[in-house]
Amino acid sequence: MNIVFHFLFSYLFVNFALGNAWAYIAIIFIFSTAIDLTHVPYLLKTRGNVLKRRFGSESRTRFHEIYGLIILSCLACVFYLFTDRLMVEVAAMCIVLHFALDFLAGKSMPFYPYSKTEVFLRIFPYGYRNKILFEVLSTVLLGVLFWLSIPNLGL
Amino acid sequence: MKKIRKGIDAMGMRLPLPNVHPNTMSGLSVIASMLFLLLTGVSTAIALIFLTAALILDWFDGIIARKFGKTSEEGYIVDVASDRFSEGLMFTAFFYPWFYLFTLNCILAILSVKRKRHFILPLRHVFLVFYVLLLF
Repeated sequence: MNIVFHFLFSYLFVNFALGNAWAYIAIIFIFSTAIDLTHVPYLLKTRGNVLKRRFGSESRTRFHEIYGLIILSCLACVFYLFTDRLMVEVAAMCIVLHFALDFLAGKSMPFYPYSKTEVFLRIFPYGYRNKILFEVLSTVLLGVLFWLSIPNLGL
Repeated sequence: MKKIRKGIDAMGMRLPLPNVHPNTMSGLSVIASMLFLLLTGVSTAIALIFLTAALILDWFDGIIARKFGKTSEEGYIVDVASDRFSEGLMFTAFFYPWFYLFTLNCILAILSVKRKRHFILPLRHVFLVFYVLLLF
């Protein structure tokens, strides 16, 4: 899934599950999108047109799989003891949602580098054209819902 | 314990299950966990339905794989990974001590895949009991 989709989905999810997501918008933005920074080494390596890249399992480092989830979960567990607990819960929710959505939506290697078995769940469309269409439509829909959910601006 | 599990599995094999891909069932289990997390603050009873659904779907993926001869290494990886994502989603709203146990379980999952021996804690089943107790 694309970065915008991750942010909008996490924002709306937190807003429904915990309420008042607007107060945590910066946290939601950082923790729902930062994981995609692990695509940077792939982009630098291929040096190609970003839009033409398919971002399959080959575009991710170990930090975009369960290995990375463990590191971020450990950090969340430590921060939970010392900082605002609700903030850590929001951050953890965004992190797990990002990993879960990527696992659901496309091909991944969940246990890379310990297992290089590539998996695909067959839930969301995967053909290049279908995937692009699905991502565009769902991102626009989430964008509209996001706009409507903004306090004092939407409905 | 193994005998009980075998008995339950044998019972599941007799159910009229659809010939879908087992990975799809695992994915639906993760989606049920998302719905659980989304609704746990709204209604404990409805959230409990999704929690139970996540566990049943997770059970069905193994049954379907065995029933229709679709067992594979990919299936095992999907099963273990989807269980972890499902736990992670459920436990963010019940952070202490559940999220700590989830982190431990992720480490155990990696060890299980690496050593090809399954030693993962059945956290969601224990959590189901905990959550039912919350209702009373």
